[in-house]
Amino acid sequence: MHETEYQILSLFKGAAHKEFSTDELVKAVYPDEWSKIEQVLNSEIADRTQVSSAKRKKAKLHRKLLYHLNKLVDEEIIEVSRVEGKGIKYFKLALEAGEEFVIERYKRKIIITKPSLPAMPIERYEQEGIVFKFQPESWSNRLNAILIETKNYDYLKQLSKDIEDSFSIVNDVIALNNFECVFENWRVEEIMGFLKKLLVQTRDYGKNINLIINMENMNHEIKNMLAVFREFLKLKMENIDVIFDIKPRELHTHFTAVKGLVQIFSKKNTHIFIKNRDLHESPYLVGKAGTYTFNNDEWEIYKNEFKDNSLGLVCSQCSVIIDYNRFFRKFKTPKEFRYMIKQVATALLAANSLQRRNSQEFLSKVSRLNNPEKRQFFLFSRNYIRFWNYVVADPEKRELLFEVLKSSQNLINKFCLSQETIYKSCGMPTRFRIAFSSVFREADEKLLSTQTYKDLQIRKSEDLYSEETKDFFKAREKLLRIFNGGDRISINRVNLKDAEDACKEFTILLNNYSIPFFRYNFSPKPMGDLKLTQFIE
Amino acid sequence: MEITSKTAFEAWKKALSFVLINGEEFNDDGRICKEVPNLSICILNPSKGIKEPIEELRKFKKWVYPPIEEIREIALEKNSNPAYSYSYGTRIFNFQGKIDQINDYIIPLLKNNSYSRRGVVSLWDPHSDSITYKKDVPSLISVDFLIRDGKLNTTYYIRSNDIFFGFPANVYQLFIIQKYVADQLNVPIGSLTVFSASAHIFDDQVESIQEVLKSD
Repeated sequence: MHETEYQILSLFKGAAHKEFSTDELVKAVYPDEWSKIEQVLNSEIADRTQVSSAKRKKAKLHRKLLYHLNKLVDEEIIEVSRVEGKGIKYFKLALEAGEEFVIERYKRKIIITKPSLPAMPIERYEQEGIVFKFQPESWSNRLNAILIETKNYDYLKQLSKDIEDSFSIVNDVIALNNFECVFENWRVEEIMGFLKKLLVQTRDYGKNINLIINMENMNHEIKNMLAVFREFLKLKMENIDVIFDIKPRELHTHFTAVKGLVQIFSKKNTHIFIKNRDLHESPYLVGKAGTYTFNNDEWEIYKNEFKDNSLGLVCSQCSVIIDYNRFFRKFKTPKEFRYMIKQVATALLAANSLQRRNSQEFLSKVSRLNNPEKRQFFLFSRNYIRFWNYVVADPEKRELLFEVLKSSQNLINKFCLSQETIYKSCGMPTRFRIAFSSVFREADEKLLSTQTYKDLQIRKSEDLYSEETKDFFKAREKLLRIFNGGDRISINRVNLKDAEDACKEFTILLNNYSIPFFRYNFSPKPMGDLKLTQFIE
Repeated sequence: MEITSKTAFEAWKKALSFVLINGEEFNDDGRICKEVPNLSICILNPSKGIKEPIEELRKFKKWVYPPIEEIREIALEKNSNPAYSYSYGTRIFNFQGKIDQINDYIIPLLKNNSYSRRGVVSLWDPHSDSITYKKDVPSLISVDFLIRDGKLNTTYYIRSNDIFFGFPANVYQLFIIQKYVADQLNVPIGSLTVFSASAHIFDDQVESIQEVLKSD
């Protein structure tokens, strides 16, 4: 089998239900050439000759690949699923669900299976624009979020390799836990090299990375950390987020370090994430879909029995988004809402089943992350139901929201436990849990309804004590008791003159409000007269 | 106690009825359990209607029974899947990553001597299962293959058998393994016997069990 055909078929093997455009296939099969062409075509300084040359090379790559694609079409292994626009072809496997190809040629063999897709009982709600799968094309064959234990790596190179391999199994975020250990174990130049490579990879693969820094473990590495961030923030950190995991008293212990961090981050008008470890012990992750976290009781078990011997852990398998407002405009009743939630849970169960059955293939690259003795990889994972457009100003409607979500959560928990029991009885012990959380707009900008609320904005520390702010936090605290998958409060800090003010504000937030996780945005200037804490329906 | 039936569905219903009537009750971690110790269930013709118990359970809307493809794959897949705490296929076909108990032992054994009484496969691994705090350990402990009157009979020892939810999937998986070996040996399938050290049902299943017992 020609190498190019093998590469094409390997792509389909990893995503048997997917259709690929010629562009996507060319990019996957000839990544280096494609990257060079794209650089020229996207460059603002390339001249006409260079652009023409790049276009000719692109056309040549297309023709080269089409030769092999057409061969596979002739052999009825793939087929053209549609043609769009200026003759752009899309290809998919010429397989029905449940069928399999075994292609053997010249000592090479490839087996491609297209598992039967179970009917998902949420199609009606999808058609109404109420329910959405997060990343539908990889919903049942990718994981949303994984955590990698940086501390258990002896070599940065190996960490880098495992992260790169993980990009192919994840469709949202990879978090590097206890990232503070790299500041102790490696030189600034080595860390910078590692981070620069990560930056390029996150852009190429379109995934997010979190660097989780536990401030409890920071001692003499602080200088290194500040040096690294000072350098790193000169680059555009699009898909890499830093999460500082801190207890209120550690703010005091590491005051100088935190002040230094604020100075660096605020200078770049970017943001940092802060997680209050007193309120929530397990790590928080943040991706395009929203926040992710672990159950705290289970995290304790993980820490005691698995953490020291594990390289990786799945945090989230699959996510579904529900537009709360759209639902109630259409269906009106909490009973119908609970019915829909049960259908969503059933769909997630089916998706997990597909993931398990596909996992031999798609997890083979990251088998190192799972300890075969401990088998911890999926042990603490959850699926997510994320809510959009749920926040209401009307207190009565807000109470209804809490009641509806709480009762739905009870229903889901019972369903999950009973399903786990059934699977266990069948000799198939597996995990099935669901967490609730909010969704970020970035998860699906085109499909989610318009929600017009703004983040909290403060101009001075005293704003954190205003009645409006207190009400705002009170409502969010109540919601957080239901959002067991985590949630994020976003605070825009404008006109920050002194880093010490931000440190003071962190102290206020960590000590006075039961919000375990927040994003602090260092904005250059106020956004109009937006001070608002109201959510408009 | 021994139950003998022609088909899996008949056997299942008889077993459910027997445990419902004769089971001793006790509190099993917050659930009321009814248990009959040492129950033998013999299916004379497992090839007929082996999926019927599964299909019966799939009719209920209250839960989702695992897809039949997944039930099947777990019995035959030899590679370890991190999404399961353990799997029967791995234990049988790739025990401790070292031995394929069917292809490297049972099949050559019975090909060489069809009357052999040594056709035993073990699934319990003391190294990984005999740990008091471990959450999930296999219920299926061993399989015995015996060729008599030219047919392959199998006996399965299950330490803990949820007769309502577990039996349908388990007996289907066991049949698949029996069929695999029978096909390799080119002999017809004989009886399938499940010996349960603890055959039990739970209080919260009773209503659904009664619905099953009413069905044809």
